[in-house]
Amino acid sequence: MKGRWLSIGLYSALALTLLAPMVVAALWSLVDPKGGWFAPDIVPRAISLHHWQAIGLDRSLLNSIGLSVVISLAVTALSGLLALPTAYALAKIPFRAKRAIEMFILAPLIVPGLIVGIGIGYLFFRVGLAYSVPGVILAQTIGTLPFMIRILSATLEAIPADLIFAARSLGATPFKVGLHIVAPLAWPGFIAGGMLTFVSSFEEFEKTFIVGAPQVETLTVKLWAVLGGKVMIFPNAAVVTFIVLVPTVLIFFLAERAMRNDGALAAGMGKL
Amino acid sequence: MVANVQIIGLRKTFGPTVAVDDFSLTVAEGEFVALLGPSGCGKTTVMRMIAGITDPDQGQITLSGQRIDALMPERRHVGLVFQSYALFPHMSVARNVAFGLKMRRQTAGQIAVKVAETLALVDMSSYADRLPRELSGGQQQRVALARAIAIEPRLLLLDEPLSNLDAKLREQLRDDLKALQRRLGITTIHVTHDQSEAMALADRVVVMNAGAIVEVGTPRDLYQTPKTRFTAQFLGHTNIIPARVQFGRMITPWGELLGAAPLGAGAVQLSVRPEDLGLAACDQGAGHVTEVTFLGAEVEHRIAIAGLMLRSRSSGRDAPVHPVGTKVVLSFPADLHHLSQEPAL
Repeated sequence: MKGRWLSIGLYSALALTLLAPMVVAALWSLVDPKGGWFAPDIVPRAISLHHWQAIGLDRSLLNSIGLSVVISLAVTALSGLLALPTAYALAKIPFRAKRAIEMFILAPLIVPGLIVGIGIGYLFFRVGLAYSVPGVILAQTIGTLPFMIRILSATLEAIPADLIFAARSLGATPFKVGLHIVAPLAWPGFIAGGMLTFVSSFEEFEKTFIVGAPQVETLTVKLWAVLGGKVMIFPNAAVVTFIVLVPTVLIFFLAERAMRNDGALAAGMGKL
Repeated sequence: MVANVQIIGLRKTFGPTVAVDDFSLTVAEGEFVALLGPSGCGKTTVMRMIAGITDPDQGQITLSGQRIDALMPERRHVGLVFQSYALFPHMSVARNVAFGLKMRRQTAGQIAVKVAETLALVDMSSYADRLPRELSGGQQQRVALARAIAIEPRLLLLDEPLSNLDAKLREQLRDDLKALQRRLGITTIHVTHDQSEAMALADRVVVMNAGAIVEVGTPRDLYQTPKTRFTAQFLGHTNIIPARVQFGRMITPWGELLGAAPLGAGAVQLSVRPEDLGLAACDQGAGHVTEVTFLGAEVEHRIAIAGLMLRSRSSGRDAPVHPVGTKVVLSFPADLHHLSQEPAL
């Protein structure tokens, strides 16, 4: 009985925080511009696909989506590559001042993206990385690296040293241990870290805007433009919201299905 | 394939602490040796140095004449069984057992035959397709053992393999382990802190304390004629009685032991096992019973005598029970034993 009430509570909270805004956004995106949507109406007077069509006709939107996907993939790969050695060292090698270094690695999470963005924006301008895709990828990686390192080191830490010793004594070289033991046991961490990285890169705005705009126009930068500058145009914003949301939902849905047996997604995330 | 082991002058320090010092040991082909000692005595470090997990600071390890202390662990051909089982959680039982064979590049056919054969040896054939998490602790340890012996190691190292199991299962697995080791004739070094396990399994026991070997011997010798107080007390219970040998007579704190053959010279320490210490009610007795405990198979009396507190155990359903306060006289075995390597008290 207790469990059921807990579930009801949790799902209600989920519905309130996730579904309710989405429903409102969905309604906004479907408002017929001739009818509008004003208080005290609960739902718009008339429904149309006008705003979807308007944005769909904008060719540059497709380009932005493509660019965002490419940048996010690159950021994910780069983060994974850069995070692995650090994560391995944190998880498996004892050294002095480990705690301090861990804090140092997590620090970028605390500093607002805007501040980091302004700092590196100037630096990148000086070294010629401003307004370029590589510049945006590097800037975003600064923000995603802490997640990746944290999740990977938690995953690697959870692999008992005895397993590695057992494998070595059975004749496995360090490379074979990595291939047959560490990689299969750590892959949920890679997936979880990769997904978080991809999504946070896909949604990143401040650093991308400062370093890349107006030459590099990712989806979030595009969204900013569509929002209407000073006054938000609700129906347009609602449509773009959904476009930004699609990869996020898709990725989490796929990953949840792939890892249903392991519960590793939850485990990887839970150790954040 | 089975090797003999020769270890000379092994030493390992971790920072300022000396974990193992001047450890030398020879193990014959097919012999079962137990390293026994309290936790932190260095026994596990010795095992890890033989396996190649830890590098020694000094010393040599030789398997049948081949130096192995500088070899990578994967080149040593030594089987390893952990207290934590350390089964690969993402592999089935059969794949766990096959792992070492696969690393040795045997053909699929050879591997299948060997896996089936080894699983049959440990009675786990019907679990080949299970994952480790679907097995009980005892079953996991059987698989871990199978995985280690499947590669036909030159030496088998067991690190507290039975410590995570409950008492009944531990005894069962202990007997199976012993039978299997005798049958395969693998040279085995078994690390444990459990003296009854060491005595039940091993041909020879190496008693360790504070990083060094205290005493080496057969279980019977170490139990019955220990040379040191540490061994006497670590292997079961004992009564340590300070005594003096004067003019061919054995003098204890409460008087002369009549009929005792004199041992050593001057001050000695006698070690008498509780089951060897007899007692009889007697109004003129120098000791009196302070506590009686019924242990099922045995009855234990605690006796206060001349400032010492001694234990006496007797077994069988006819074992006499003396109530607390009873005056008693003690009787000693004819062949008294004293701790020859202990300084006098």
